[in-house]
Amino acid sequence: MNVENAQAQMRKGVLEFCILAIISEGEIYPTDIIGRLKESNLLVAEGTVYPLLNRLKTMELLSYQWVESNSGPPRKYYQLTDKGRQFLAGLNKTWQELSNAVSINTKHLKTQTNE
Amino acid sequence: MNKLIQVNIGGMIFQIDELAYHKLDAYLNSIKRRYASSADGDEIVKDIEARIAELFTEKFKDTNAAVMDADVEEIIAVMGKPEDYEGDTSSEQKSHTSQQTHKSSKFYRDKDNDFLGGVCAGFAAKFNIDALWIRLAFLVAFFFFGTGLLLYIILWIIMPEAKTTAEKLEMRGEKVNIDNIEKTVKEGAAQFKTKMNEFGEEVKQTFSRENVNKTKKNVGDLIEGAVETVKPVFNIIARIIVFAIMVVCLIVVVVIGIELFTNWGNSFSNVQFFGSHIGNGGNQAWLLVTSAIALVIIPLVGIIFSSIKYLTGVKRKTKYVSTTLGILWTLCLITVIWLGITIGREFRYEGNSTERFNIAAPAGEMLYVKLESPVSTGNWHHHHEKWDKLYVQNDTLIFQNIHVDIEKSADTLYTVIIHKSARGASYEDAEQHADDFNFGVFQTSDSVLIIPSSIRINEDQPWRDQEVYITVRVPQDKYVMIDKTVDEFMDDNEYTSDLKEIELYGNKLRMTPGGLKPVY
Repeated sequence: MNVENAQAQMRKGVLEFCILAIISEGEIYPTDIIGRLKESNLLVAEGTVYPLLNRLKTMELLSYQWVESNSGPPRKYYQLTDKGRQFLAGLNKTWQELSNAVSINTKHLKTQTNE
Repeated sequence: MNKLIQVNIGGMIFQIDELAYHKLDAYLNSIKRRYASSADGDEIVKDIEARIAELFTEKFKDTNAAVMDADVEEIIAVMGKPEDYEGDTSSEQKSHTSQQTHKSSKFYRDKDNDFLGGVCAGFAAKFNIDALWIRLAFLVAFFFFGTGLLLYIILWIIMPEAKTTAEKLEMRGEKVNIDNIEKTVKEGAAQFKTKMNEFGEEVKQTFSRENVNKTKKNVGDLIEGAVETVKPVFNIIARIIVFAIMVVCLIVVVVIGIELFTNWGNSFSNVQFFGSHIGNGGNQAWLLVTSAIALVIIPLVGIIFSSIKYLTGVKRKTKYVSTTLGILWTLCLITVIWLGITIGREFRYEGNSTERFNIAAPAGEMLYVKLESPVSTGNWHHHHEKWDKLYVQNDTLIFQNIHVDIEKSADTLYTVIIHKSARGASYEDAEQHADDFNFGVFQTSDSVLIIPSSIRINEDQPWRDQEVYITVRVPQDKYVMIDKTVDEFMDDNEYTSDLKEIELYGNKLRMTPGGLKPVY
């Protein structure tokens, strides 16, 4: 596994986690998800979101419903399923642990970059 | 000028430029292929289409403008190419897509951005660089004796114009960078590996079959498979050979070009000389020279032509060009042969003209033989190196086809015989030519015989290989002295053969029955 691949794997996991977290706030349609991700500088290629949502849906973590829009065709609004909520909770727990572990172990790196 | 197409993207109607349409279509297809294996591939594409529609709507909400090439580029940049998507990237899928999106290496002329024929613009599109650089390169090459021009014309003829949108897209290559090169190399290696594996499979299968009849058929397959595997190798070798041939031909053409250009003055008066003295006028000479050059150049250009066609893989119909060149070449060949025969006929017969005269007995019984003036080519405006001792000076042809012999006189008188010869279309014609040119020796102060240093033919006279033999007969026991200047015309004969070179010239020589003997 090369460096690029490792970064991609890391980003992929984080992206999934963030998408689930954003959707957990309430029904949302992909364009808004993209907007949120872009605000936080997490997204490079917008197209990435669609296959990801599709996969999460296939895993039955998400469901969607069609909502009429007054500015165009109907939109898909996504929401978490019960399974999705459990999965997110699990992810969150893992993330907190990881985040804690990472911040302890990379403290010296942070101070270096801050200088 | 491009067509506008109406399309439905994600349930919205848009006007889209034809080129932009094909680009967008290709993009969406690449996504489709990418997710072809997943059950919801269509759904993903639909979702992405919906997003694109949304972006377009946002962009064009206040205008009726059509979606152009640049807009699609922008969309693709925003959405990202499927291979850039972060997510389930199995290496298997990756290689699949890159193979699918591999672009062909066809070259087209770009008439939309042309300056002359769009050759440079076509290259610019292929390599994604500014056409200006390629044009500059051609311009620089032009100053290398017109190589750039020749190459340009050839490319102009063989590169087809990108007319359809598909061709226009094909014309546009990927940006050349390290990644692309690496990708191409990797793909090539992967393809080769796959081929070899397939071949191996085939071999295994062939030998495990029990059915004899089937085996027979499979041997054919096996050979075919082997040929398919070896083909790329031969292809590369063939390409190298073709390239080498092309380079050699190009060099020859360039060298001929250099020769003609740098020696232009030389070549020009060569032709002039040819026209006025050999042929029946300037036009004939020009015709002959031009035909002869074309006779050599046309096949070379033809070879360069086909080589470039082979190397670039352009399959443009060049029937007209090859037919025209073929006819032109045949005409040149006929011209050269016809003029060759015509001129050759003028040299068919030999005619002679002989004068003999006695000269006054020299004082001191010694004749001094010398040339009028030693030949110096320095002052002459032109020198034909190729025809030895042949010069043109103010339209007068000057050459030195002169032979001098010293013999023993049969009587007691000094005698000079001037034998002139020339060639012609008939015996009479030849004799006339031999008669027509002037060549006279003259005697000064009794004892000095002066021989002109050259034969001079006026511009109205033809060159017909005129030749002069001067025989000086010296009576027995009389003396002669030969000047060093006569050296280059002297023929060796029975009277002079005993003498060494230093003895022969500048010495008083006595005529004896056994030949000339130096007197000290």
